Amino acid sequence: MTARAAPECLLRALSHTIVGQRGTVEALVLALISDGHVLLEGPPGLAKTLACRSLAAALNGDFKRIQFTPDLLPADIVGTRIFDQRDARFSTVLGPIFANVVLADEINRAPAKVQSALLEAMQERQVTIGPQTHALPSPFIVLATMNPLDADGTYALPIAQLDRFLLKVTLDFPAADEERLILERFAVDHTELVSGAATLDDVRAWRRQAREIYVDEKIKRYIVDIVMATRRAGPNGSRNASLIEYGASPRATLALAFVARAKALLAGRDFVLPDDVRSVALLILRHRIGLSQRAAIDGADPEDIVQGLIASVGAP
Amino acid sequence: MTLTADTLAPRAGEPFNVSLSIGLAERVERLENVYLPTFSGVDELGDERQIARTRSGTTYRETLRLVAPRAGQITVGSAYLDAIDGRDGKPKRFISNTLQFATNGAAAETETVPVAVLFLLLAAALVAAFVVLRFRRNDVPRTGAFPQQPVVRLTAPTAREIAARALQRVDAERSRAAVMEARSALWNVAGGHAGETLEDLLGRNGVAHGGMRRLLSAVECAAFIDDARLSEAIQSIVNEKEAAL
Repeated sequence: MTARAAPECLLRALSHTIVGQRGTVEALVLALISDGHVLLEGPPGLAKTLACRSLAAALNGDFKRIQFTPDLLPADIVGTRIFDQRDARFSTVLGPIFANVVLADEINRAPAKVQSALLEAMQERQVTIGPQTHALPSPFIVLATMNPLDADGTYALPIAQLDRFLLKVTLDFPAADEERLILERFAVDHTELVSGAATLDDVRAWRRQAREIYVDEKIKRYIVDIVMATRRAGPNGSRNASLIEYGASPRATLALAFVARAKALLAGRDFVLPDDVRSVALLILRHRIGLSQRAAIDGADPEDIVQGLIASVGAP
Repeated sequence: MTLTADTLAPRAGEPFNVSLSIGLAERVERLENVYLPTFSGVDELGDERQIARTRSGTTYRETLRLVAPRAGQITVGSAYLDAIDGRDGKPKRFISNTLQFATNGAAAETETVPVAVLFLLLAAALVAAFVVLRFRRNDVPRTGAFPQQPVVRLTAPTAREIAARALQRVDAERSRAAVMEARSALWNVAGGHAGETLEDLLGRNGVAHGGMRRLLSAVECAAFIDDARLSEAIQSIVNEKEAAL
C-alpha cells in the first residue's frame, strides 16, 4: 500500500510556483477536492494561467488550454466526427475538453452557444458527439478566466451558467514585497513548475475523505441561514433587500457544505467548524446573487453587499 | 446555589438556557421546596430537571429554556430553596444570584443581589426558624438537603468562576450540552460576542493567549465533532482546563 500525499502537499507545490495569491491557490485546491469548477476574475498578468498550469503539473495530469474567441464553435471544445476516406467511415476526434485540468481562457469572449457547450460538459461530466457519449476524465476541473477590464466584445455569462461554477475567485495585484519576490524568482529564469506533488488517485481519495467529513446540525443550520439571508432582508435592515434582486440557489447551499468539508480536510480535521463555512462563503456566493438596478445606481460594491450578508448571520 | 446562562446577550427570538445548579452534601432522591426564579420580558419554552447522585452528594440542576420575543433588558430574579441547614439543623432559605440579559448584543451584566434585601430575607428566615422550631420541632423532617456552598451568596459569581464551574460539569457529565455551556462561559471570559466565530475571537489582539487559546480550540472541537469521538474531545478539554483557568 502506498502512502497518499496530503492536500497540503499540493498547496505547498502551488505556493512554490505562485507568489502570493494564497487565497487563489487554496481555492483551486478546495474546488479540486470538492469536484467543482472555478471562475477566476482578474486583470491580465496576475498568474491566472500559471496557476492552472501549475495545478495540472503538480498532479501529473493532462492540461489543455482553450482560448475563447468570438468565432469559436462548440465542436472546437468538445470534439467532432470526421469522415475517414481510407476506411470510408466516420471517426471521432475528441476536443480539448478531454483533460484533467482545462483552462477556459477569457470565457466571456465566446458566444452563448459555445459557453453552453462547455458548461453542459462541466455539469454532466460527459460529452455526446454524434451517436456516442464519452465520459470526461476524472478528476476533471475547469478553470475559466475573465478579464474585468475589457468589456467590449464580450458576452456576459448568465447567472444560471455562473451558478455552475463552484467558486469564483477575484484576483488583485500583489503587495510590494510579493512583487519584489516575483522579480527575484522569475525575472532571470523561466517558471519551473513543481510536478508530481500528488497524483490523480490522491485527488480521488481526498474526495472520498471529504464526503465522510462530519457536518453537525448546528453547522447545517448556519449554512442554510447564510443562504436564506441572501433571499430576504438581512437582520441589518432593508438596505440589502433593495440591493438584491434574487438570492442564491439551493446549489449554493450544497456548495457551501461541500467546500466547508474540503476546507476542514485541508486543515486536517474530519469535522466542520463555523470558521470553515464562513471562510468559503464569499467564494461561493459572490457570483450567485443578482444585484438590483438600485445597487447599480448607488454604485454599491457587490463584494461589500455579500460580505455584509455573510457577517449578518451569527455563527453557532 | 447558582444561576447561570449559556449567553448573557441572547438574540430576540432565539432560545437560550438559564440553569439553576444546587450542590448538596447528602444523597437525596428528590428536592422539594425549590422556587424557580421569576422573570419578565421572556417566554418560557420548556423546563428540564436533572438530579445526579454521587458518592459525595447530590447535584440538582434545572434548566429553563427561554426566548425573548423582543430586544431589551431582561432580568431573571433569584431562585431560592427552603431547607434545613445541616451545619446547625436550622431551616433556612438559600438564595441564588440574579441574572440580567441584554438582547441583541447590548451590554450585559450580572446583577448583585442587594445586601439589604438579603439581610431582610435572612431576618425573615430566622423568624420563620424560630416559629417552626418553637411549634413544629417534632414535625421537622431531618432528611432535608444540605448545600455545599456557603449559606447565602452575597455576590454573583464572576465569569471566570462560571467558566470553571461549567468546565467541571463537562468533566462530570461528558455531554454535548455541558460542552456548549462551557463554550459560552469561556467566550464570556475571553470577551467574545454572540455570533462570532473562534477565528474572530482569536484574531483580536490581546484576547486569549497560550493555554486559554488551546482550551478555546479544544472546546470548539468538542462542540462540533461527531458523537462517536465526543468523549475524546472532552478529554482534551479536561487536559487543557488546568492550564487555562
